[in-house]
Amino acid sequence: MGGTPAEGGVSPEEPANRDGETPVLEQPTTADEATVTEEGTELERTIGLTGGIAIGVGTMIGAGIFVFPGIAAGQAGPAAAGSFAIGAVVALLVALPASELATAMPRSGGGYYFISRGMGSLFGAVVGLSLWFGLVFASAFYLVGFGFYAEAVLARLGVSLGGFDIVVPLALLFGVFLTVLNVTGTENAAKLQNGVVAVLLAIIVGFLSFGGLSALGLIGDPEPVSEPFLSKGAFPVLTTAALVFTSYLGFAQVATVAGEIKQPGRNLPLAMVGSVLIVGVLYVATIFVAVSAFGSDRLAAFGETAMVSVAESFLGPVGAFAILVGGLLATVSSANASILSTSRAIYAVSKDALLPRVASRINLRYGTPHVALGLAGGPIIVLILLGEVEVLAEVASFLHLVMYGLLCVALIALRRDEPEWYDPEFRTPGYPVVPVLGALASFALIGFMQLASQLIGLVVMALSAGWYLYYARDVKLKGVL
Amino acid sequence: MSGSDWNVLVPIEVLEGESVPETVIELLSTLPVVLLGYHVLPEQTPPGQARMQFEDQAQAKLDDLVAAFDSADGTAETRLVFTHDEDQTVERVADETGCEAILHPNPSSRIERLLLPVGADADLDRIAGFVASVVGDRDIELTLYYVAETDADVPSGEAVVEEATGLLRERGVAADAITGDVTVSGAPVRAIATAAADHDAVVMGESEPSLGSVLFGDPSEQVADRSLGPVIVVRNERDADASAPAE
Repeated sequence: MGGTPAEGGVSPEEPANRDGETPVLEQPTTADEATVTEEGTELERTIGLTGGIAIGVGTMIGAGIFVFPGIAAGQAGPAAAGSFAIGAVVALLVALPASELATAMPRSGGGYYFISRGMGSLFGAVVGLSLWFGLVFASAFYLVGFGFYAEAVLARLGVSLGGFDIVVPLALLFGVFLTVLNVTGTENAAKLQNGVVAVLLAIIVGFLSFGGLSALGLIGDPEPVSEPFLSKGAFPVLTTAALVFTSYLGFAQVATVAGEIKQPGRNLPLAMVGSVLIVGVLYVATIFVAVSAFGSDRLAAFGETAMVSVAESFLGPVGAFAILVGGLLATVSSANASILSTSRAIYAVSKDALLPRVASRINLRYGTPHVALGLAGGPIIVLILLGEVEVLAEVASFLHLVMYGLLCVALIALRRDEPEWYDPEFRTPGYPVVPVLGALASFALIGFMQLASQLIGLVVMALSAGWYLYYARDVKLKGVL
Repeated sequence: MSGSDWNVLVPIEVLEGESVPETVIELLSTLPVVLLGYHVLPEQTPPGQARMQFEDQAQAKLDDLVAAFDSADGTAETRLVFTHDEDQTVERVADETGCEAILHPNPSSRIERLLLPVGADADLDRIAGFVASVVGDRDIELTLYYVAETDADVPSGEAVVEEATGLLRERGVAADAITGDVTVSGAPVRAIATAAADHDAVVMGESEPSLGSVLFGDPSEQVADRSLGPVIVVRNERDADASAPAE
């Protein structure tokens, strides 16, 4: 491998891991269209602004609109709209610092890369390995959501399965299917992803325009239900915000492909901030419409597929059909985008010698990273067996929020003593207020989660730190570009 | 445009076993060549990840090719790119290196006869300039080939061929090396590919993007695929700011 002189004999002074591997450095001069490494090899940037927004929106939209409305309304009442708004504000407070860091370091790995370079390899390892598992939890969550939609579709088609609960088996089946597809498929799925996102946005905007008019009492039956905004009190608004924050994880996935985005100085901030704004507005509007159609208690009783019933009440079977199709598409697209991000997160830590290099091996037949995809798909399947939507979602949020908080801290650390290489094209407005608030809000949101989720999250972080101390404590990453 | 500053881009999918035939290396020995080794990845695979595994192997193959150009008295510099998008990479590197012509490297047993398809909208000046510098003082026969859609179109085809002949002679190509051929056909790409089978290589102008080129590929690619011989595309003149190297 280029740039790994320590591969054979390892002296204890070398910054190598237990296998004698050292970080592979690109030391690039970053241009708009390609990254040129020190050896002169070029890495083409091929994702434009539309592609970046499609990754962000496509990852996020599955959960917030198609899985959470019933659960959230049951916990917070009509004020669940406020929970989603809080989530959007927290996400924006993090998306701005993340944009600055991404334009300063537009490389694969996203948040992991910024934190390892800004705060050193211990923080980097904890975040990088936690991000791997955070994405695994998120993917499992989306797949279980898919299972609920697939079950609802089968139920409507009159397929009877003798009273078995088929949500988990369907989710498992699709988890395996997506992993195998990503290892063997070499078709250009990015175009498909853009199309799926466009179809979803069309379905949602259509649903919201009709539902919004109805909610305001302008058209249609049923009569809007009126209910006090804080019908469940103020505290559940915050715990619900912590739960539904999973709906905002996708903007950071844009940063995991930062190394492949064209004109990163312009497109990264636009894609990250833009996708948070797009989904934030849609989420708040969706909850508003859904709650005014049925009231929060009936909505909660419909569970994960509550939106199907809402659409049916407005538009009859056509509405139900559109939302069922939308739910299937959205949960699959979120799951797939997360599996791909997991594989990139594993590549980023393995490239830096925090995991054995074999984890980023590429399959010679398909040209795909089969080891990393397997390290994503395997744990996902185990987690699906848990089948607990809320715990999966919260652990995913927990592990991401730790990264978000540290990302804001890394920005402050870098800005206080700017290294020579630090030259972001985008600078966070409102510094230092925005990153300070972003860090505080991220850590605070963790405090509102269920105890079980907090414990699982802490265990994952502790295991990550333990792995680093065992395997790669000599690896130094701070300021190493 | 003087004869000496024509650069030719030779893109090869270096890890898929593509190479540059010796006869083509010899044909291009009169001009500076940019060898673009590239490797196309599925979107699941970050280019940097492929670089970790394949960089050394790909660079070694490029170095072998440079040695082949050197021993044929040619000159070649190399670029190595890992990409998701072949067309974007070829365009970008051609722009950055100021290459006016791009080769589709198919094999050919010898290079003694070149086919030059010329359309009514071709930039004859550019094509003639390029061909003259490739040929140099070597003994290579040229066929100017015009496909007329109807019989009524034949006279204007003859005029184009005559103009091109004049431009080539101005640049020092011997008159007896140039032949003109005007054919009537409704399927120009097929006609060119058929004519190409009697020649050793094709040099043609770049076509504007059209519905047909989106569906079936660029005409030059179609000719390369059908004739199985090497095809060199002379690119249209680029806007000055579009070809400026990126900062």
